[in-house]
Amino acid sequence: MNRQIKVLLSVFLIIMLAIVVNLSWVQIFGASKIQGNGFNKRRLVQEYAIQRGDILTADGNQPIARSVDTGAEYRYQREYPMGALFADVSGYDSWKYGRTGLEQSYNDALLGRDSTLTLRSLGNRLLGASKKGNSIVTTIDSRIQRTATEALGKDVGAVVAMDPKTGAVLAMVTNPTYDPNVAVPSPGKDAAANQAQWDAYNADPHRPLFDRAINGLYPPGSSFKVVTGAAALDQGVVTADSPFNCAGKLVVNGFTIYDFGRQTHGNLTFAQAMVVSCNITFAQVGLRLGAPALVNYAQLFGFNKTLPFDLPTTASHIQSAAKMDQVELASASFGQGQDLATPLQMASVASTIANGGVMMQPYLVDAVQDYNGKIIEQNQPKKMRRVIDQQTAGTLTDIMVKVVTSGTGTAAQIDGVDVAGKTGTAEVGNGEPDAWFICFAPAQDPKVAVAVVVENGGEGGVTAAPIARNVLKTALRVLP
Amino acid sequence: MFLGFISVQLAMDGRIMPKQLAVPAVAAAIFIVLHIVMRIFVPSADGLLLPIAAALTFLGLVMIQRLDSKQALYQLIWIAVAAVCFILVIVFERNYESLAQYKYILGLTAIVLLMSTMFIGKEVNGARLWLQIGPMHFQPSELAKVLLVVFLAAFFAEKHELLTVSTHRVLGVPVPELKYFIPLMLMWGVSVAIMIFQKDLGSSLLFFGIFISMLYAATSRKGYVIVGMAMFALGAYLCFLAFAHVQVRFTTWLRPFDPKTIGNKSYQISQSLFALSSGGVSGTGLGLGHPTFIPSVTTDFIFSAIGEELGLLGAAAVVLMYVLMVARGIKVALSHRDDFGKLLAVGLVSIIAIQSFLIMGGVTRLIPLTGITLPFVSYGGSSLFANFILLALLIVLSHRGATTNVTSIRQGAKR
Repeated sequence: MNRQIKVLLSVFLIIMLAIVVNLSWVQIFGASKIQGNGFNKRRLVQEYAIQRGDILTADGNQPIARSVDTGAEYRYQREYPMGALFADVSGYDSWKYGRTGLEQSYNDALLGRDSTLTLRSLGNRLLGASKKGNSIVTTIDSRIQRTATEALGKDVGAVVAMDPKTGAVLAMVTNPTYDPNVAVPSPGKDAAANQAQWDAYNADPHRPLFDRAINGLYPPGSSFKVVTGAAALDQGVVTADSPFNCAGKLVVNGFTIYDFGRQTHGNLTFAQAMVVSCNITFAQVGLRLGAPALVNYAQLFGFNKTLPFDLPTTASHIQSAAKMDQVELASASFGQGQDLATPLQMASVASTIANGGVMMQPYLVDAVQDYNGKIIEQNQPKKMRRVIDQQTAGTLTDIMVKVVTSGTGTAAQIDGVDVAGKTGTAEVGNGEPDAWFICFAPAQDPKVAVAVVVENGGEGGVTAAPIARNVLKTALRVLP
Repeated sequence: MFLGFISVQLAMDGRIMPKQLAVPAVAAAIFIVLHIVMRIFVPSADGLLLPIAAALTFLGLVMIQRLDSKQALYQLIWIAVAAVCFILVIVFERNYESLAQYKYILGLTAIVLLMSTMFIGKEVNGARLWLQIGPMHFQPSELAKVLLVVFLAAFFAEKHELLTVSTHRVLGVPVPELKYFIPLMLMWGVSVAIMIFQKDLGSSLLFFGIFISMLYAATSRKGYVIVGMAMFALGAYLCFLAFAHVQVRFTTWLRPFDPKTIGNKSYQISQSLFALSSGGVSGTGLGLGHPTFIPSVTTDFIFSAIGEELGLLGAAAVVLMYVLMVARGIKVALSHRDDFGKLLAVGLVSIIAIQSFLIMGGVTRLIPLTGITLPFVSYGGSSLFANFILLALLIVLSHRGATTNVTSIRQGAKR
């Protein structure tokens, strides 16, 4: 009988060994394959076990996004107390639809897992704070943001306001937009209604989930004359007083270019041409300047390259000099042809002029705080490059002030403040032209630069300039 | 164990709560008492069996505390009740031979216990395994398996010579007289009945495994093993064809991640595999994983929780403890001179080995999943109660094995 008992022992040992062998497959060698399965909710649960930090406004640190303890499996979920107002800034953080906006680009900071392990963060971790993320303080001023949203109203378009001296984005509005709370199906919400609203956002032909302010590409129209003018003045091709003649049309290589509305301006100076927005003069300026110089200056202003920013941006576009013929050069000089720009790009153009020709890198996040409110990372304004001489910037500013006092931009006038601006009325393939206005104020010591675009809005001076004026007024009132 | 409790508290609540350390303190005290009782009444008993059982029980208690702290208190009460039974067995059943006299009563009791749930049982999680007495739930198959082992040990000890003698041949294989096949048929019938009426594949496999092991040890006839396994396989196959719940076990074993079933039928096994895979070598740490995603994690799936939070090292340590316990049990069987003692030890060891294999293999997808408890570790009164009686019997056997050997050697020396 003992022999059989020993056989049994061997059988038992073999089956136990089989368990360990199989277990090492499941736990080690085959583990990553099993873990990668989409039905494994462990990774999500671990992320949502962390109390994600807040996203705050620059004024008084009001929460744009905050975490709510739902007590559910995905424990901390997002709440956006101001609804759609900051949707394009914060984006959303949703276990169902993923992340966008700052929620995406600052995810590691919000979850408190920055790679920079400072003494403080190590200390916080040892004190058991590893389940609390860091907060980020944006550069957005809620008052300017609110004014911009109200001023834009029902118009489809975007507004970007910047501090020209630092590049800090003070307001960033796109319309139509969406309520990021809808992206978060947290417990207690009407799941069906939420889903219906989310589907409606996705089906809407106006694409409310699309951020026009940084990704919308529009022909800049006459607002691009600032770029052409800056290049021509900086290269010494023209001065403010250079004489030009507008016969209402210009024949280039057998192709006739007409002025906007087939107007005829007659004899005028370069400065006057900017004030009345004469396309014929700017076509001549562009031809005199040459394609390489025009394209070079546009690229110095940021065209043909994605602007470095806290959110992913789309690059504004100008044709390469080698491919540009004379007709295309003439059209490109007044912002038509193949020129395309984002509102953020045009706000940067206005800011650069306002800042004496030095382009600052636009940014959206001022600081990262730990859960105690201690700043652990302070963003410093970054100088990108000098685009034009200070003198050129001054000349251009003077001309842009005249645009508002006596030209196409009179709707942007503010009592007691010199506003420098430029209108744009960009012809588009279908319907009314897109309306642009770019500006900054006060002209002598600029505190804020603004770019406004209204899709199919008609004339820039009529539709876009009043919106910009409201934003400027609020900014000048609230900024120190 | 104290370390385990403290780390669970730190991980779950972020602080130490000294009051709650009363649970491990009481558990430790219980095992110290058991050890003392053992030293007094059965001083020559195997010194490793109780510590291994204690280690497994403590590990179970720590895991249950981590998974569902309310259940930990109940588990402690069950440990205390089981410990009393352990002491009763040690004190009153030191002459285990007397058990052989009641073999038919015990066997009948086992059958009655098993059958009882078919008529007055309560169905939980799709299996009819439970008897409800007042507020208490009792799983009679747990106790039945121990009683059945006692019966089979006594029966085989008496009849194994008859079973070994073959009187005629079938297809060239020597086969004993047909009437000795009756117990074989009976056990087969009981196992299949459990599978059909109680929808409990685990217990069915366990009973049949125990039976085959003991039959083989008693008769040394491989023919029995082969015939028995073939019969069981046939029964299982017929059940597979006839019953959906058996089919589900197989399909979820083959394809646990099938998107069609992962949300329902294969939810448990897939969650178990996710848990194990996130454990890696050293685990997530106690209280830092998510084993609570697995349904019935404190009972059937406690091994997956151990695998997730203590890693391959922790899980392999558990397997090693069962190996040690089985090895010590086999040593006890070998030390005995009388057939009843030998077979009883073999049967008890088989319970530990087969039951732990079935559930550990099931939750790791080595074999199809069958819902039974992990001995000493899983939450549950019936299971602890039965396993402590089993342990006490094994310890009594080890004591007797050691002492009879000593006396027989002395007697031999005298001659």
